Amino acid sequence: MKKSPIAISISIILLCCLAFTGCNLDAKVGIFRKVSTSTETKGVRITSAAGYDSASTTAYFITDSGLCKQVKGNDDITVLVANTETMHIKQASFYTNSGVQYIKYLYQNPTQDNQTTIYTSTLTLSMLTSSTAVSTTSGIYAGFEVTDGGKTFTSLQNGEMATLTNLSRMNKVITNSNASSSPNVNALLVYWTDTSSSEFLTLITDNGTTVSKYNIGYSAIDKDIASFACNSNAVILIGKENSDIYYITDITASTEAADSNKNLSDSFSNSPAIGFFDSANSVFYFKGNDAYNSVKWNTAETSFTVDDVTDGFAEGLLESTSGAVKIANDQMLVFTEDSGLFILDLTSNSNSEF
Amino acid sequence: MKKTITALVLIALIAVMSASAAEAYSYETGDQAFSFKAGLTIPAFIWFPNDSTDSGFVSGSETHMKLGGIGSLSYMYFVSPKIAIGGTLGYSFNYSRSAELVTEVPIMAKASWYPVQTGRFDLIASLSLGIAFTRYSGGFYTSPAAEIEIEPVFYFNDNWGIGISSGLLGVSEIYWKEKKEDTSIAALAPIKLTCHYRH
Repeated sequence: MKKSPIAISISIILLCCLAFTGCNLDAKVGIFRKVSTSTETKGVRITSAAGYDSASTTAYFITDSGLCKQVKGNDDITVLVANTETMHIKQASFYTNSGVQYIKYLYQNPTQDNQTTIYTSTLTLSMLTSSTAVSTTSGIYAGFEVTDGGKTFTSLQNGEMATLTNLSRMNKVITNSNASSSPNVNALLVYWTDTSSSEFLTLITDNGTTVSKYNIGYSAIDKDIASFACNSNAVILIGKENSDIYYITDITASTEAADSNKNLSDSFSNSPAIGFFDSANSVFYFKGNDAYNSVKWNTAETSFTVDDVTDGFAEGLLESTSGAVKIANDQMLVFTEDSGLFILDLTSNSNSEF
Repeated sequence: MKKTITALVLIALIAVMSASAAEAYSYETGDQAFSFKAGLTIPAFIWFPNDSTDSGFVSGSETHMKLGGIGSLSYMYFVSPKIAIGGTLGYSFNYSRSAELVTEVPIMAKASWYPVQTGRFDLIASLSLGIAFTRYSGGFYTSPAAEIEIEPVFYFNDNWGIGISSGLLGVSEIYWKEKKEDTSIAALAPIKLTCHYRH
């Protein structure tokens, strides 16, 4: 009887040792590093970015409250269009047409049995009035619009059209933009199914004057892509399952994606698809679950150097990120899920509150 | 802090006074003690010893943790009239600045020394060593943990008593290679009300 408590204590110590050997070392960043760099929550949850107006230095985004805006240097978040019991805004995109600024947004009525009905509203920012209609549009992604009925896929930015014919289902859409001015490419990666059940992985790029479409050959890669970034010709894709790095050296010459046989150590299992290319430093950046990840590509040798970025411009911005848009040369505006908006300055390798 | 010291002094005085009126309880080898504790945790510091960018030491609010809570259960077995060994299981939580929850579940072996015993009053100094399961923002880590604790306890009768404890609970994270700069020790200062049963 007297020995049993001692035996219990020894057992506890042995269990401690056993458990310690089973440490989870997969985390990209130490837990207490993540805690000590956490940023104050703003009390609003940003679900997606809607755009940025450089003239008025105003960012537009969607929160749980509705469509919102924030002016640079001002902490106040203004709700432009509030969610109601019968209207939940899902997606939005800022654009300018003939000198007039608009935000086009999609919403659904959650009280309806059939919640698949999508409505489109166009908010004229100068008057703050909306016109609404049952929509043929099923998605708005960073200036690109997907029309329902499944036949066309158009660019809102310059009126040029890139068509996905016989579109049956949009499985996944990922957007991104470059951080640097040259080359200035906004892009969309669409994983879609046509009416004959064939699947496609299509990259659509917009360099400001031309919209181009490329069907990517994915026989050598996993088509479930978590994130991507591109410059004028080169494309890096990150596989969702194992964070594998795939590449296309010159998409204008060949659209076949190749496996680099390297992968990032961060997980992209539940992260939003934030990726951008910093042409000034020739670095591709991808935001994973725990950190920013950099990929340097030696195209001459087809070799890749990967690293995680937890300080510098990424300091304090390791939590969930809802979106990112370019706002100036070498500056990205990042929409964090709970901590508000931050500017990443790649030149000074720092960040600041918007 | 002043209120805490006053409370400790009061407990000590009551214990000494009551000790004179009661038949003194004395511990023997083989006695056992159970305790339940609950209270607050004050973030003390986080130290990154391998940090190359600055001192790597942040304290108080700079830890980006807020005031939290803690609870624990302990079992002790007396191996001599003044020394007891046993184990403790706890749970603590704090919110970070981003309003996410940091939770720790320490499981530790514990050694206690009873330098002051009056029958109705014990002063207990303890050292616990073990592991803690730490969870934050989707991350999970199991690592060595330690706690030092000092605890005055007043007994209403031979078996039941209440007290207050304070000390330092430290949890480590250990990394190698490219992540070695994230190796850290995070310390919380718990202040707990305690309930004891002994026999």
